[in-house]
Formats: sequence, C-alpha cells, structure tokens
Amino acid sequence: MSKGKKRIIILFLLSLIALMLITYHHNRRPSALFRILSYPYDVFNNFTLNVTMTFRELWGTFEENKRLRKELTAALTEKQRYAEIVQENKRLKELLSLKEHLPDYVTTAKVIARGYDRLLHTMILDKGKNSGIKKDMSVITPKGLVGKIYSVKDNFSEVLLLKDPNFSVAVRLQNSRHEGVISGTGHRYCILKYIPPEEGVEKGEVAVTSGLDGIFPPGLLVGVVSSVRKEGIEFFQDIKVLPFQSDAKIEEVVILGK
Amino acid sequence: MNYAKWALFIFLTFLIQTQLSIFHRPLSLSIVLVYFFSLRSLPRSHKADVYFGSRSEIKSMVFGAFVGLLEDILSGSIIGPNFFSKGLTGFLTIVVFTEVVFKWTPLLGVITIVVFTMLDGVLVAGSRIIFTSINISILDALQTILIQTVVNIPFGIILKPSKFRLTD
Repeated sequence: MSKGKKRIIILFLLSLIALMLITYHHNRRPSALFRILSYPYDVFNNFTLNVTMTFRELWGTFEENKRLRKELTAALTEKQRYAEIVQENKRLKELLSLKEHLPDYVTTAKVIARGYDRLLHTMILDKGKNSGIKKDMSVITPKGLVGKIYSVKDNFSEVLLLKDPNFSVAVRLQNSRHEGVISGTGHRYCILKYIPPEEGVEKGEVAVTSGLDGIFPPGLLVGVVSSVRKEGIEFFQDIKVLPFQSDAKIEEVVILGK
Repeated sequence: MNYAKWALFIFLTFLIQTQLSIFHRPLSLSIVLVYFFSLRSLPRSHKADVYFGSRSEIKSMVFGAFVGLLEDILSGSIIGPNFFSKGLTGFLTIVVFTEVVFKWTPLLGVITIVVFTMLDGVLVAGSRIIFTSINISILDALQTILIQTVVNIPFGIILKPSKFRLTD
C-alpha cells in the first residue's frame, strides 16, 4: 500500500473516531464514561479556581494592607498635628498671661533659627525693629530669662543666650538676698560671681534679676543654684546656676522693654 | 522523563489557557503545544521512517488527539471537535515539514502556525455550529480565531525543530 493511501486511511480513521465521539455525545445523556472523563475537568476547574481565588485574596489583602497603611499614616500625621496645636495653644496661653502681668511687654516672637555665628550662642527671632524691638531688650519665656537682644534688623532680631560667655545679668538670690552677677559659660550651667565666702548660699536657691544692671527688669526668674564650692577659692565662692529655661526647648519668646 | 515533561507541558498549557484571555477572548495554546510536539517529533532521516507509515505522523496525531480530547473534556461541550482538529494538526505538521517545505524557517513556522490555528478554530467552531444547538455568532467566532492566530504568531518564530535538520 502506498504512503498516500495509508495517510488517507489514518485521516479517515481520525475523522471517523471524532465523528463517533461527537455523535455519541450529541445523542446521549452524559454516560458513566463521560462522567469519568469529566472528572479531571472538575478537578482541574477546582484547582484553577482555588489558585485564582487564593491569588485574588492575596492581592486583595495586599491592596487593603496598602490602603490601611496609608490611612494609618494620615491618621498619625493628623494626630501629631493635633498634639502640636494643643502644645502651641498651651504655650501661647502662658505667653498671653505674661503679657497681662508684665508692664514692659513689647511683643511676642517666634524662634525661627539658631544663630549663624558659630562662636556665639544666639538664636534668631521672626520680629525686629518693625515690631518695636530694640537692642539689649530682655527676652523671656514663662519659665524664665532667655537672654537679651543682641542685634536688630527690620524684621529679624538676634538673641544672645544666657549660656553665652559674653552674657551677664545682675541677680539676687531669692532667700538669702545676696546680690551677684550671673555669666554664661558656654555650657548648660552659668556661674554666679562676686559672692564672698562668708555669705551663706544654699544649693537650690532661686536667682532672679535684680534690675541693678539697668538692662533687665527686676524679678525675672533666671535659674537655680546647683552647686556651691567654698574650698580652694580665692576671693569669691564658686557657684553654679542652672537656668530655668533650657535654650533647646524655646519656640516662642516674649520681649520686654527696659 | 519525557512523558513527565510533556504531561507538565500539557498541564501548564491548560492552566495558562484557562486563566489568560486577550480582549476577553480565550487563547488557543493547545494548538501551539501540538505544533511544538510535532516539530520535536520530526524524523531526522527518511531512511529511519518506517510506515505504517511514518511513526512520527502517528505519534504526533495521537498526541494531538489526546490533547484535543482533554480540551473537549475540559470545555464541557461535545467531545470530538478538538480531538479531530488537534489530531489533524499533529499529523499535518509532520507532513508539511517532511513533504511540502522540507526545511523549517521562522517565516514558514509563522505561516504554518497561522494556518493550523485558523484551521483548528474553523473546525471547532464549525463542529459546534453543526452538532450542537448552541447559538454561535460567526462574526464573534471569526474575531476569536483572528485574535488566537495573532497571539500564536510569535510561537511560529520561537518554536523550532531540534537541531534544524529535517531530512537527509
């Protein structure tokens, strides 16, 4: 038999089987054989359905997670903003009370930056000459003395901080009533000068401005005596004073006139 | 090992075919699988062929018919159309590359797969129209066949016979 004839026979057989299958399935209800053959179909369908559902659920969870994270971030930001507003409100209320009690009140200003001069301990305020600020005016917060106005521009001013070595203020100790001068050291603490060794100064005494320097109004809180040393000294006691107002936490200040 | 490889190919083909669609039209990757199997079954020498007849022709036809039968079962419709069309594809692929064009090139691969995909689509759609009461829009069927053909074109370039040698 030639190759061509054999091919025709093969194709004929293929067509015949296909036709038989089609006819068989077309004329009869699903038989047991069909059910058996359909079994892989069901298994396969279930498998693909499970795989698809798993991936869809996974993707859904992923998307939901992304959305929730975004919402959480927004909520936390909002909460933080709210807390910031509460704090600001508290500070402004304190400043407002200062304004009501201090007759020398000039203005309230915001700290906008640290000073540009690396050798000085200063900070920049957002108000200047246009707001009535002048050189050497006192700068305070509700906690106590911050420093004095060092230089003034039209809309900005620079404050020389209490801890700067160039800063000095005449003070009086609240209990013992001793008078002295507090100077900055460049560190966290200041030193109280010109207290003779025979004067009794206790640790924990509060220093307030005396007003004798003609710059700062009397009665402003400055700091608390943190250590007193009488041994190994020459003319005056070595007294360290810790300022009430840390310069690291200042956001708004009040400027007082002379 | 070889059986396991082709079983895996069949499984993956049906998995992808049932999950992917283009413009909401199903793909026809099973025809690509049969075509690929036939290419890999091409005889390397006429002398090695023993009829009844060429063993490659029968092997490819049986493989195609088996894949078609599975597809018929999976489709849930009548059994037979895919059995016939895939079996025919397996058979004709061998005939085309041994008796008609002799040598595989990417262009001939594309032409072959385009013709077989269209033939498969026409046979399956025709069988459904003739043997079932399901109402099939001819235009819709043609669009589906066209998209399936376009999708299968890259396979005509990529899939090639092993070692490029068809006949001595």
